Amino acid sequence: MTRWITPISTAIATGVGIIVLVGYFVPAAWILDLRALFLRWAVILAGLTLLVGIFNLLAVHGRKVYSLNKESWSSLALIIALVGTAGVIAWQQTHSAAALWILNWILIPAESSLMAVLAVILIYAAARLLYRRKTVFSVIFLVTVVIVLSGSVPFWGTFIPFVHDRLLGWIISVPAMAGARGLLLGMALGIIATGIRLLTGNQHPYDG
Amino acid sequence: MMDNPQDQQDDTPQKKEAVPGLEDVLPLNAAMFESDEILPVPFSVDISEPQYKHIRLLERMLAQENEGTPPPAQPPKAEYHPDSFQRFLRLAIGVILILTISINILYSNRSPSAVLAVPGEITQTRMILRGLSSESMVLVAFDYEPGFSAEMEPLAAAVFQDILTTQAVPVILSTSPLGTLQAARLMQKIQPPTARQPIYLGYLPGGAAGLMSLTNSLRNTFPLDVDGESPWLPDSANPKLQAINSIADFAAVIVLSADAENARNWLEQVQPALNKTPFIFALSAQAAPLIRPYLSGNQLQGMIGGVIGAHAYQEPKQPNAMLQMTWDGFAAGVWVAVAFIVCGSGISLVLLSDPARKKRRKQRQKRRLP
Repeated sequence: MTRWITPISTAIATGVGIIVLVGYFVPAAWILDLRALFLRWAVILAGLTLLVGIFNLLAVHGRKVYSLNKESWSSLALIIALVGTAGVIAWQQTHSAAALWILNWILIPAESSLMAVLAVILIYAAARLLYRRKTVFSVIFLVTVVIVLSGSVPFWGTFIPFVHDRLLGWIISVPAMAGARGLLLGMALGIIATGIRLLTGNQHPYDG
Repeated sequence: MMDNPQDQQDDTPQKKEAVPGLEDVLPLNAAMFESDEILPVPFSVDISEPQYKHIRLLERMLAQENEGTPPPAQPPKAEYHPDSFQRFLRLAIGVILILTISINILYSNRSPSAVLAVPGEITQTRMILRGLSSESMVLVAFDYEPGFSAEMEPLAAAVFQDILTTQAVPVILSTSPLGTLQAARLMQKIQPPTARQPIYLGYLPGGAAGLMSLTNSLRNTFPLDVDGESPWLPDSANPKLQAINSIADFAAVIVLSADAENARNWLEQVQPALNKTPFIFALSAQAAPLIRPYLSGNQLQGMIGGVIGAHAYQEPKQPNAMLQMTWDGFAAGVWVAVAFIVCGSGISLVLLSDPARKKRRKQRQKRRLP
């Protein structure tokens, strides 16, 4: 069965990809219409994958609850939270007071706590960097971090003169900009290479 | 075995030699294995002092082989545990940060502090947003997760304060499932009763493909709003939306994003279709450096980056209340971080210069290796 599905799915993916790509270069009405149709299908499919993901999550954790082991309680909590939230949103509106309550008192505190822990870990790692790895690049990294941080905010109501108005601006507009441009070029080349591999059928992530 | 006549008569070279098939290489002398004593060597050997030490060492090792296994060595009671110290250090950093930030938020006088040097892109953003009118429709994308609310909300509040002051109508969408809720939360906090009600288009799935679809056909991508009604009909709550047929018809497009990848998708898929419509980004501090090259390439008309950007954006005479509440705490937290990094690096350098400590550290690292 897989023997037949692979070439068919490759042909569909390549065909759709080529039509969408050609739409950028050839402004013919029928190609643009076809491209718009494919994109709408993609949006609907993406929405459906979210639903499929939710049902899969429910199934996995349902099995864990049924197996009655150590992880059953956390799985049960997840299922109750998921069903409860979905029920509240379905019963009320998407931006109702109940939905806002869940956002304000559960989602934001939980996610913000994780970000706060990350901040502590980052400061700790930066403070110990030289102890773990005493190299020239570590020193450059730490000096840059200290300059950027101390130049960004005032100290007792006053910005540090040279650091804030000269050094910080230079770091942002010269080395940081150069690095960002390099990253963006690298990403663009990577995307082009992956696109070509997908269009030529050398890579098919849709096989499952 | 010895009674076997075949064994008694076996006189083949394989039985005579230690290495079968190779004669005279290593003669098999049964007497060597019958005696415990070392046979006298019929010639003298000159050995050096290190060789003699090696022989003695080998003899001791062989002698110890026959002794019982010694019990495992107990670690000394007062041994230094680096892991517990590191845990203490992390806790100390956390506690000091929380205390410093809390005290600064609680006892802040909330008066405008030092004036930041305002970058050109922020001045440009101010001009665009303050140039909006009550007839303007502004598309605003909320693309940040709840974890980034502390950073993004003051930023969004600074931008929205100007939009609401001009009485322009915000049309809100999101490529994150929680974006619409984030927008509702912000509106609840900052929207004055007299301000125009925003239009919530809802969630746009599909990432880059969804944005491409939005560019191609705004009305087909969002046939209904979050309340399940069509916002494009003449008898809808906002008849002004009738004039909007494509994304380029908005007075401005503003993207509030905490993720550089999402922001890049907006730039690549939506920006080419905007023609002369101003395109503005309000980004988290982590996303701003990656998007800055597009600003210098004139693909963006305005950009605000992080809490610092929001602080520079607000007018010193009319400070944003939400921003003022957190600014002092934020500044204090940054300085505590700088102090920890500088002190930690200094202490690390001092510790590394001590040879005895360096040796102990290497030994510890060796012990940890499997």
